[in-house]
Amino acid sequence: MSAADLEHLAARLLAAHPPASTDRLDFLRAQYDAGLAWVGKPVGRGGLGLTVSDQVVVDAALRAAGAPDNDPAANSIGLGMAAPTLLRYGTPDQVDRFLPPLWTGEEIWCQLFSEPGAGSDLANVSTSATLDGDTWVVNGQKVWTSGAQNARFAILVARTDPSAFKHAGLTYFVCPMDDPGVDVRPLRQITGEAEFNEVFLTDVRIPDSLRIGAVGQGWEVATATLNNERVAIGGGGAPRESGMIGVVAQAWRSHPERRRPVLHDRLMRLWIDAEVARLAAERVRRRPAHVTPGPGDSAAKVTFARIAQQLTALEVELLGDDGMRYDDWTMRRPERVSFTGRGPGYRYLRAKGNSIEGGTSEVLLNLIAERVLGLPAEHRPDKGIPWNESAR
Amino acid sequence: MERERTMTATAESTALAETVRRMLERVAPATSLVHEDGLDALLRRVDAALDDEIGLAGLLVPESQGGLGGELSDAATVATELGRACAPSRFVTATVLAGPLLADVGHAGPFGAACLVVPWGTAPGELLPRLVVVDGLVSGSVRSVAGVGDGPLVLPVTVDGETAVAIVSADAPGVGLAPVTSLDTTRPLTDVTLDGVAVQVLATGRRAVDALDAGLERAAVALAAEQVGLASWCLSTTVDHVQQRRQFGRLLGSFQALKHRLATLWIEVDSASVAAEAAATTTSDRAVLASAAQSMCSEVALHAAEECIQMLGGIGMTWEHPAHLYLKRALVDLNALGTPEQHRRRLATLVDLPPAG
Ligand SMILES: Cc1cc2nc3c(=O)[nH]c(=O)nc-3n(C[C@H](O)[C@H](O)[C@H](O)COP(=O)(O)OP(=O)(O)OC[C@H]3O[C@@H](n4cnc5c(N)ncnc54)[C@H](O)[C@@H]3O)c2cc1C
Repeated sequence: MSAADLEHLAARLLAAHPPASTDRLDFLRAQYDAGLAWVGKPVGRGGLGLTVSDQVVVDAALRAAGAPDNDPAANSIGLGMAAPTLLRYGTPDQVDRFLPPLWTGEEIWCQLFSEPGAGSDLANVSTSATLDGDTWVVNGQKVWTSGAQNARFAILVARTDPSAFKHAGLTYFVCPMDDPGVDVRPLRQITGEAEFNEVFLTDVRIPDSLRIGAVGQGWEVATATLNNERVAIGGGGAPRESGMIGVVAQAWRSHPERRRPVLHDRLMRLWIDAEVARLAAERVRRRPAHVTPGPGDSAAKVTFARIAQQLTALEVELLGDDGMRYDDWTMRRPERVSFTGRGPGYRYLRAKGNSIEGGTSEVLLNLIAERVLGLPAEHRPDKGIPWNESAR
Repeated sequence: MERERTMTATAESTALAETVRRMLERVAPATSLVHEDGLDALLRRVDAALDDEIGLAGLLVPESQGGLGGELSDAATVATELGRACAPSRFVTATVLAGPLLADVGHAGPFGAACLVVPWGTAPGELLPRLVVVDGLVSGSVRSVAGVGDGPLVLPVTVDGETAVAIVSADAPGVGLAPVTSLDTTRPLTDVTLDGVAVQVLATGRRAVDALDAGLERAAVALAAEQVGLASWCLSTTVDHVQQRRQFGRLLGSFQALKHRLATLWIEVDSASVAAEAAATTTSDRAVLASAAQSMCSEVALHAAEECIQMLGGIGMTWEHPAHLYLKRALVDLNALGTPEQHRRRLATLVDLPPAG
């Protein structure tokens, strides 16, 4: 489909639902039904089966006409992780139920994967799910759960067969966060905020209809989610100098008195890195819709984390005495993560999480070494023995 | 003879380090640092223990002026322990920097927790006083000053176009002290404003310039020592963590990807400690070694803190674990008392390696 065709479809949507006189949610629902929510997704699922990059044309046309957006920063886990996983592994009923309100932002999602004993080694989760009739009863503790306080649903990995091999005993669920057995407790972060939480699950009841994929297929489904997370965190689809490089470039331009030759060379190197990372993301976005993210896409996330950390450090150094100040240490439970809405100190500290969340850079480098380059795997003493007999 | 003296000095410095370390473990354990409300009280307790209990008040002030006549190396020993504990203290800004500076310009004391009113980023040799004394009065402001307490404020000023050192009490009429929300909560900064404040000028010209430069250089040496302590804590905390934490059925420390980084960091911290110690003990080569140490230790400390956060994983991103305090202090102190490249530039002049162009 050409850009003109897409613009035409956008114009039709705008004519039928003029943003000025249409309720925000009504507009977003109509956009979804018109297939203009994410044109890279299939027809009937808010998309048109095109490539991800085609969305740029639609978004530009809608934004120019003052149409509302779906506030993607408030539901990044839903949009970037839950949605592609549901589309690939969910039943048609599950997709029908969950996808529209996920896209419009009416229902926010979080990710109940990590546990105290299962971080990098996600397959080690010990949260249990046992079947009682046609309902799963879930018990365990999750940790580092971003945005759990705002979420209506979670994607959850739990152990359904402790006597199976580590990766084989896992199953993937949608967990309703309003179940009385879900207890969300904030964890304060180095930025001062509590963006993530501990989540205690006590006899949480999940109907079997909320299982995603087969019993025992949880690892495969979770891996698909993580691959999508890494692509989502790695970003893309943005114009030159957007994101962190834009913020730091702006700081450089507006503080001529702070410029120093050493920092200038570092800035220019990072500018190139950021621009090439953007072009690499574009390449991913131009892929046909049927190509799913794989281990090679981890490169984008490793690079993104490095650039974000180096840029934010550069900004703090650039600002000198002013970089020694902080905007606000108040403990808050934010609705979204915004790098640009806060000060340089916040950006630096929050970016430290970029190489940890969604798979640490070390783990992703292992993945590239083993899955892309085919190098021999690290020795794994926990391989090939039932999970409940392994040394944890 | 020489050898014996060195050995006695080393034994004394080890004893001092242990005394300070034990005091800090008692008064300012890492767990007490994350409660930011109590930091001011904590700072007072730490400094009271250093000054009165251990008896380090006036450490670097000559005996003839009522001080202890101690060596900068003693101060560096103390600073290393303060860095290791990430303890809030005015030791570097008062005992090392402003107190002896006052003694240098002939002030009779008492020195209390004196504070040199300059931005915390000021490098030795690059101080340009912006406050001007007109008819004995000063008006103006200085942002991001470290070490402001209730002790006297030491002001770099100009009088008739000449650099001078002046003093005023922190509660004098016209003095405004506005606390800053600081990135390093353990060394809070203050914005100082002066509105027609009557000051006493203590020295002018060469004497003032030399005292200011020497003071900033002493502080840079002590800060380098502090950064070594900070880096050591980060390294040992990380090593302890990877010795205990298992993932994939293995201790994290068994993964060579981490092992090599920690070994590299150990080499860096070891080099940094050599640099800091040399700068603190030299009697003939202070300027060169001070800038070499400040450049190296600043970068090693930040690297150590960043590696610590990364290898702790999610725990390193929490407020509850003290690692973030070390990260924040390391980041701020990268630019404190001069950026690494300001020190390299200063060094370049001293060792005659001029830049291009
Ligand atoms: C800001 C933030 C938000 C997060 N949000 C969520 C969320 O919403 N939902 C969720 O489920 N999780 C979330 N996480 C958790 C995140 O996925 C984990 O923290 C991460 O997977 C690392 O696990 P861990 O913290 O247990 O660290 P560990 O796995 O203990 O790792 C510690 C260190 O060891 C290294 N390491 C581990 N294994 C190896 C190896 N084989 N080789 C070399 N090095 C290794 C790691 O790279 C790391 O540096 C979030 C984390 C952060 C920081």
